[in-house]
Amino acid sequence: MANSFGAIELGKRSLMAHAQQINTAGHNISNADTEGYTRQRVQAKAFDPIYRPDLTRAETPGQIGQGTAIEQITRLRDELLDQRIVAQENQESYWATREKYYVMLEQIYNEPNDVSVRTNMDRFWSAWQELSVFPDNKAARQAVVTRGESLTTSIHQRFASLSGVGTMLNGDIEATVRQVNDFASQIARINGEIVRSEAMGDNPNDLYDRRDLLVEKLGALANITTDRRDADEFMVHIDGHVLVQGSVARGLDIRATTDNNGYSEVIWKDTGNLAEISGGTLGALIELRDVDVRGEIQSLNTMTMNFADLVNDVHKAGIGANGVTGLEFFTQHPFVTDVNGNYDRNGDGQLDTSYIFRFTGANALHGQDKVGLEGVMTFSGKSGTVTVPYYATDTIDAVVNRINDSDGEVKAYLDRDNRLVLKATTASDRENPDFVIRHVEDSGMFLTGYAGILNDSGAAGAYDFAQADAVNALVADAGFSVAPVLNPAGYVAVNQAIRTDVLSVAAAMPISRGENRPPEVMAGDGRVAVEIAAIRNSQVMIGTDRTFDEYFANSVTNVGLKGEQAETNLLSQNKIMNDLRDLRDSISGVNIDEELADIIKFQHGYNAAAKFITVIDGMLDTIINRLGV
Amino acid sequence: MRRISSQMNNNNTQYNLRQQESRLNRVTNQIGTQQRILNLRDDPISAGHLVKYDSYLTRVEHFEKNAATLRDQFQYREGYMYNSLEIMQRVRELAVSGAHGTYTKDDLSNMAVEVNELLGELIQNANATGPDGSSIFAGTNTHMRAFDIDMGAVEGSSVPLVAGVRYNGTIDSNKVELDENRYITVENAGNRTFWAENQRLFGGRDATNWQATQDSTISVDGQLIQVETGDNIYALIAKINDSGAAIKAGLDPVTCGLDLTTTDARQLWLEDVTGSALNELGIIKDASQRPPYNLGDSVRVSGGSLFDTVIALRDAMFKGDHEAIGGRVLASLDSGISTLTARVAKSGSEYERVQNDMLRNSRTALSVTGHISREGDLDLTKAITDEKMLELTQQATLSNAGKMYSSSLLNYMK
Repeated sequence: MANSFGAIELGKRSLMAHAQQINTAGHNISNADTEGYTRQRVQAKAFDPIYRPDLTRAETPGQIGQGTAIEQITRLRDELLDQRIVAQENQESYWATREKYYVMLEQIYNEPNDVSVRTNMDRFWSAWQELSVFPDNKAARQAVVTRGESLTTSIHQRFASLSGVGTMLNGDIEATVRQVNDFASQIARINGEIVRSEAMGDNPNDLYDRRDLLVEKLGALANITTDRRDADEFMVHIDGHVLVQGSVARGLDIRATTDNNGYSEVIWKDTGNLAEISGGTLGALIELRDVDVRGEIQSLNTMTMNFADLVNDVHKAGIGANGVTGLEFFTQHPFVTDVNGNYDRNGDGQLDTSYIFRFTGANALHGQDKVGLEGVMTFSGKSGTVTVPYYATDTIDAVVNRINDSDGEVKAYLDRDNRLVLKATTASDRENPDFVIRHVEDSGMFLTGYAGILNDSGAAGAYDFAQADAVNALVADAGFSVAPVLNPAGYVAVNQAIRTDVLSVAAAMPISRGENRPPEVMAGDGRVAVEIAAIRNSQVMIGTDRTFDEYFANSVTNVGLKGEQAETNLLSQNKIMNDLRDLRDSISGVNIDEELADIIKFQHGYNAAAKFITVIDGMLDTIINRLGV
Repeated sequence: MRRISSQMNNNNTQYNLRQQESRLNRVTNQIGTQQRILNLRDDPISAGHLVKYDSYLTRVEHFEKNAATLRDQFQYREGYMYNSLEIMQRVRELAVSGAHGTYTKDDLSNMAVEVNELLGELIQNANATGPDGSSIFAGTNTHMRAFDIDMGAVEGSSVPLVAGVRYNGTIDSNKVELDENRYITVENAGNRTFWAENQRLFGGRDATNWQATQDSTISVDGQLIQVETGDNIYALIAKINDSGAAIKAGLDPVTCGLDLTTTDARQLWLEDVTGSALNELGIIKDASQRPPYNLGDSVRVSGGSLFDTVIALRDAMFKGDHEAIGGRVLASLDSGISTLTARVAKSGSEYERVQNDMLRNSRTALSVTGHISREGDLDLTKAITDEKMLELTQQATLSNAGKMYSSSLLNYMK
């Protein structure tokens, strides 16, 4: 038979169990709006009954129940859903970051608006148009100079804004790396505590919640995956590399670089290897800095470089109203001061490279003429070289188009005197310098005798930049200009000589008066002005775009499309994440009404248990005090 | 059944409100700016078109402005030319009268005084300046007076009169853009407008043994001709004749020098641009001398300007030389009037062309503005109805949000 006081013990257990359940419901209600909190449930079970099926068993039918007991307090959480959320949310933060930064980039464009680089350029061309109609008017010259200054200022501003965004991104990358490290070390620390707690047989629910929340936050920063296969060693990976292993966090670090505008790269702290981070905020920031903003700056540089070169080329041939000739309208700072573009690239004290931006052939060609020659041209390409063949039946225009349609980083066009011009674009590989022609070779005679650029055919006569005085491979009468300093968009300016005397603006062609006399200028001659104004809508190859119009339209559409893509993807990721979070909330979130109903239930249970004890107490009282024994 | 946590309602309401506020903000801004595209992402393709149209419109408007400027220039240029034509008609009347042989020398002297005044008027017209003070008929040398006069003693006159008129300008022309890469050539050379006769040049130096010793460039009536090493006089003559210049070249049968003749009434304009081919042939002096007064000393030239013709008439009248008036002078006058008439007609045609260009550009500008409006302007009706709809939705959401936690089990617990 059971102990006389066993029932009181049973009642006590019930009271304690109900009190604990009410406490847990209270804990849930208190944390109803705590970030990352998972509702908890008390798992009660019937206490071990007497007797066990062994020899001590009394000869009584059935087992005798001993009331209730709390087995454990558990979190209601779907771990598979958690993994999905962690895997998905780097997408949301990736697009959110891109969306945020593209808003900035779009604002820098300031299009379609009255105050963009394009509208300033439109005004600059209009000023040349005006000068072509009023070449003897000083005010028209002043307009050309002032609008040229406004244009260069707006180019500087756009450049400064773009590099400002680049610097901001770099700062953000450094801060995000610190955040990743911070989260990683917190997760590692919590892992340690969880293992200790679990070793004691506890269920550290709140620590689990805390860790899940940190993992979720870390998941927004980078493309991470978690691994719970070993219960004692919770792991976090970034793109397959271990970031956290149990209570050890590896951590990332940043290292300043000399190329890429001095921006830092993200490395693993312990090995120093480059960390490949693709998703999440950090992945988006790195991509924005090294691909998007770099591309925007390169595109602006390309436009500036070509624009200044084209205007200068015509302007240098003209004469100002004050008789000054040979002036460049825009000054560009050359990357090298050596006239042949020679440069000591590896810093060993020997000139080893030639930095040349443009070649102009010595001979005038006609676009519709048949080449009549056959051969293969080789140009520097995105990686290595590209080959462009030409055949006897091709017209010059067809060959020029074929060069431009190839994947090479050299573009061609016929200039105002119908001479073949080869120009370098920006380099897609960071190893290579921008605006430098690296390799030009022709197996036939097109670039040599026909266009008048190279001296000799074949590999022996090729132009290659990896040597000093590479321009010796060019025909003596061929023109060339040296490459600009890094980021020409930041430096281009209207020539000081023109700013101080606007009469130096060349609207006219000089009239030669013999070798020993200065050339003459005719006040009403506007031939140079009209030629400069014509650059605006001529095919002049701005990088891969054929005209300035095309360049501006393409760059605007490009940045707009990327912004649109970021916004659309962000909206859909928001939707997906919202659904996933709702799903998680429906499992793990606290519902106050539910908890209150539970409290009512447990309160009644408690009351009933108390009543049970009272009844047993009465029974014992009857036996002890009233039997009169 | 999906379980709803207490937070879920709140989260979803916030999410929806954020979306609505963002949309409402966009519509409100669109209405405020009257622009459909506030950020490039709103419609990147349209933004690209818009940027192109906008730049194109700037150009078209400038083409229209260029055409309007030229129209004005042509208008006052034509005024002076037309007036000069009227003067020439009067000069011709006087010449015809003077050629009768019925007037005495005194009568002719009196006529000569009128002719002299008309000459003055003609020179004044030829030296006319535009509103900005630039010479109209000086080619591109607009800061100079187009024609300088030399005063001299004339038989029959007691005072010095205009004895010669020299052209100071150039024959260069300007191009003005009137449409995408379409230009009109504006040529205001006074020595083509006020010129009476074809000009002939007879070289005095034997050129048969001449051979070019270097590559050089010569300019004949503004056309550049490349002379290559080894070219002889026949090659040069062929090149000049094939150049498209209004000049024919030939070898003088007597002197074996280079002869040049303009094919219409204009002044010969010869230059050595590089090298010295024409100088070696004795046609012109060295490059330090400006055309048209750079002709070599051994060269003989015939054919003069309108002023030369009127001066010749005046001088013949002073002399009472009926034959000269009725013969050489009258023929030259007719030729001069014919040139001037042709130039007036040319100017009128150019005026008509720029007028047409102006109209076309103005129409193009209108349609481009239409395109810009279609791509970039806001459909206000749609925007306002959208805004109203969004406001309504937002109000409903807010009202719902206000009631979110109004009923709870707490209300029923004792």
